[in-house]
Amino acid sequence: MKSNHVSEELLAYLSENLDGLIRQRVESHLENCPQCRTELESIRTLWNGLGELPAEPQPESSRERFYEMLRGYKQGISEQRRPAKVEGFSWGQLFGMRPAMQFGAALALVALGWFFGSHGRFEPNDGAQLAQLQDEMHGMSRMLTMSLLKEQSASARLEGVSWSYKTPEQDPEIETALVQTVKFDKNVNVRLAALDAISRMLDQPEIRSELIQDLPKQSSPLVQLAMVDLLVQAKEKESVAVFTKMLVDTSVNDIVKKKIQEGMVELKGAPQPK
Amino acid sequence: MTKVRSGDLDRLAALFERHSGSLFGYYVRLTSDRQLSEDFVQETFLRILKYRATYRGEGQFTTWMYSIARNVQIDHYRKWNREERMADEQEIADESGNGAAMENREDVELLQRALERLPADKREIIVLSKYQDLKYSVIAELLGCSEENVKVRVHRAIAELRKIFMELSGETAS
Repeated sequence: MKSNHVSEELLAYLSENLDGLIRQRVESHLENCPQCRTELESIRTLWNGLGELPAEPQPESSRERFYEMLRGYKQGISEQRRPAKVEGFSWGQLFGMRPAMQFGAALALVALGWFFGSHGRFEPNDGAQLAQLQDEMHGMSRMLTMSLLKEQSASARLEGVSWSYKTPEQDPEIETALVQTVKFDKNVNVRLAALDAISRMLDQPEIRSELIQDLPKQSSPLVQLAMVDLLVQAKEKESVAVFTKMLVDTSVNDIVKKKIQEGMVELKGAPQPK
Repeated sequence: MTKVRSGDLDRLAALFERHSGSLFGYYVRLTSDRQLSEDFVQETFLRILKYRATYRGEGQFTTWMYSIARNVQIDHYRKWNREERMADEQEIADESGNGAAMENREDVELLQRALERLPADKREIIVLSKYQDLKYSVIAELLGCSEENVKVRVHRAIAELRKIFMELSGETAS
């Protein structure tokens, strides 16, 4: 009468996985079947024995790793959500992918070169296409300027300054980046290059004002000489007050002072720019 | 978990504190490898974060968590082609049992070895039922089968575990 035994139900019975009716049937069978009772005890021994196997404690490092992962994940999400300064483009992504982006930019510019080379003459209806290509090129130059200026290597930052020449004039973000470079870049050559790039923007009073304020703070006489030159060329009479102070400042290099004196003479006869 | 799903990611910490120890135990029982188990726990919680939008809020969180946990392990072995390591290693001969209690440390160690020798699928179903204390209905949902099928599979797994245990006892005695 093997078919009446309940051996297949015994583990489910032990682990409380049987519902009312079946449970009652198993219990009533066990009361009358020594074979199934022996089987139950055998399984119970094994089942309970499994409970005696030691549990491995979770290492403490697991918690640290988890919280590190959670922090990193949240940071990644907030970076993704941060509004990009250029529509459809995130600067954060750029730094992660810079070599690829540069390669892409190079390809785009080669394509642009080919386009201009092979379309020597533009028909009137090419205007829209040309404008679009110019926009793309400006966007790419802008992107490279901004990214390269933040690089660790001075040569990369110099390259960034070069790209700024290909951006359209009157781009506040590029202007700010170049002014910041002049003010804070630790490499003299990069600061001088940025100053050169700024020279085409001197029609803006804010930029002239920035240069005037920064002039006495510059550590390099070379940069100061270039700044004085620029301000005099721009006929910026507002710089006279700073020039005058620097002339009596003993820490200012003599060659710079000489340049300032020459500049002040020139400015006296010049009309104030708009 | 519904709060994690709706963007309150810090709430995952509470879930980690509550379930990670048990999950670690689950993996150690299955793999006998602490380092790998720790990696699996991390990967499971990372996937919970990544796939939080797929949590439908129906049923228990643990069911959903173990379904992810199982996939983490499956993906790992698929990737490294280590299924063979998990495969059945034993030919079983002796079907008899004597109902003796786990009276000494040696028996417990033998049982540990027997559990480790059990084929991966059988070991898993015992671990889910015994150590993770999951009801057959939950295990059925996890494994994609009926409760009746779970009952049969657990029964067969424990029968095989007993066979291996008896065989190891015989080896030790001889």
